[in-house]
Amino acid sequence: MWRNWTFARKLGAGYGLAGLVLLAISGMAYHTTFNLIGYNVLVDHTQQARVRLAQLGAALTDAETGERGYVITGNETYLAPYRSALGEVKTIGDELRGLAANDPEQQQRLAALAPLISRKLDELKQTIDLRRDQGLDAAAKIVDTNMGKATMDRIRAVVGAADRAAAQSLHRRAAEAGAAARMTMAVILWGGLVGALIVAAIGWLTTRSVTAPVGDAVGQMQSSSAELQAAANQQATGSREQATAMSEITTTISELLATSRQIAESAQRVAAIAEQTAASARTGSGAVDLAQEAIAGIRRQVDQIVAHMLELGGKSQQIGAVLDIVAELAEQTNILAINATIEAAGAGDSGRRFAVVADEIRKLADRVSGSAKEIRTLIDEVRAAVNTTVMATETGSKAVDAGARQFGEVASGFRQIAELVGTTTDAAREIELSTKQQSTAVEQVNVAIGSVAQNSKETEASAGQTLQTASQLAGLSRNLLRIIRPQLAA
Amino acid sequence: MSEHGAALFDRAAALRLAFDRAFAEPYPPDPPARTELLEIALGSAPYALRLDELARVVADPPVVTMPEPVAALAGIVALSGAILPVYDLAVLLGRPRQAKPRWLAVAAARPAAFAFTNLQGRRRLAAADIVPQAGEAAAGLVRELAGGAAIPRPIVHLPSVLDAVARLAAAAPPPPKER
Repeated sequence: MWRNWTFARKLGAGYGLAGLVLLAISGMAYHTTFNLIGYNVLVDHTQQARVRLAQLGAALTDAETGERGYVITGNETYLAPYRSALGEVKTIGDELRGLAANDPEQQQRLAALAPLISRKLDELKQTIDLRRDQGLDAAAKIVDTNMGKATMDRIRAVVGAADRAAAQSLHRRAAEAGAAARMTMAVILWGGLVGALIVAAIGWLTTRSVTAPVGDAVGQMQSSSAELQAAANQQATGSREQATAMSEITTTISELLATSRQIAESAQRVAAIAEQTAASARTGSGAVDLAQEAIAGIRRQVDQIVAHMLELGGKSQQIGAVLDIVAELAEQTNILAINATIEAAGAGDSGRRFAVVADEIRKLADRVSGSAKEIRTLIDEVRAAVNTTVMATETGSKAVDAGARQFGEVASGFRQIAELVGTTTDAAREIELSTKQQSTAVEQVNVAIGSVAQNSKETEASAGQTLQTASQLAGLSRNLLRIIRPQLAA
Repeated sequence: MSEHGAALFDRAAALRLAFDRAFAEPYPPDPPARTELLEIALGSAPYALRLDELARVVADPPVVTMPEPVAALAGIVALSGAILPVYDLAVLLGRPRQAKPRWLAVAAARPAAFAFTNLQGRRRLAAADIVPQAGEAAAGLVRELAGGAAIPRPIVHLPSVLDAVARLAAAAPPPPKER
């Protein structure tokens, strides 16, 4: 069981046992010393009692002496001892009763002494009063009665008995005090020797039981200190590398933060440009709408032109029809002229003038026919021009339709552009917001990294401190081992 | 006013002036002997007819076509109270049948009409401009050519054509008797 006790328990048990031994010895010494002091107090008490008894006898003697001097001389100055003795007797009597409080026999003696003293003092007072009032003779008669002497003798006898009893008690108590002093000396001497032996034995056992484990623990502590030194070195190296990495990370994060801010600024510019583009797209859409309205007006004008051209074509056809009639009339006139010429030829000479008229009619018919052909040509040209114009106008109308459709597509494109630009604006704003949040987060990360870097530096410093502490611990363990096992430490 | 319009006005004024002058001028003296020709077209081929061999010229005549063409006979036509046979002049001249000939030339010598495609005009030629053909053509249906132009125009000899028609009629089988 002793082997399984801890070092503190062993030390506690050893010091506790030693303490108990010392406590026992101290208790015994205290007890004997207390008795010795008590005996000394009793001896002193008894001596004081004897002194007070002697003083009481002396005070009564002084009072009687003063009374006798006054009686003889009648001089008041002789009453001074008498007067001082009156107060002393009372005081000493009180002190003697206090000193004899624990001694019944002495109390009985003091109780017997008190009336004697009162009687003696009354007798002295009576004598003094007689001497002062009646003179020396009256006082001498009182003295001659020997009553005062007898009282004084009885007082001396009681005081002597009390003094003897006190002397006996003093002798007995002195013997007891000597025995107590010897006992105290023996207790101190032998108790100190025994306690020293016990404490030495406890120290020897404690040292024996503690040295080996402490030596082992110190060895382990040395090994652990070495390992702790190595670990502290590794931790310091790792902390330096971590601090370097944190510094690089901080630099990278700062660059990332700058990049994020640039992205946020770019997104802001993109949003502004997108808003400008959206405004331009809306303006363009409005312009396209106006252009569409203008094209619709052109289309209406073109339709009117086509209608007019078609009407002109119709009129040309009517002119052609009228011209057909004219040509038909010219042809019929020509036929009539030919036939008239034939008839005139058949009439011989009488028909010659008629032949002239018929020839004129023929010429007129030829001219009409030629003019009709020219008109026909012109009408054909006009109709061709009208057809060409109509075709060109229709082509233009189709082109206008195509342009209107294209303008519609352009307007739709502008609207899509406006919508897409709106989407771009929203996306740019989201990018800006996200980038700002990212910047804030990166700043927080940067702060955290800075804190980590600071912690790394502190860890490095702590590792250095740990290394120093481990070194000190190793030195301490060597010193401790040198203290415990000098042969191993050497 | 455009230049073309001004020219037309000038031309109309000239025509009016010439027309008025025709009334003011005296009749011309007897002109020299000239041959009046009627320029026609058979299909696309140009020909000419002597005007003095014709009785009249009719445009768009109401010809009643034959159910089936019989040689050169195209149909009959009623003109001036007389019913005349209508012959395709191109077929008589040995050319392809004309598609819907518009004109008729009524012969002066006999009651017969000849269809031709188009009337191209009249022409008055001097005798020197009439060129007779030689050889067998001199006895055919075209015996002269009208000169004075870039391309000589054949002149149909209408009496010979009438003779040919007469020969065709004589050679034709008799119509079936009515029951």
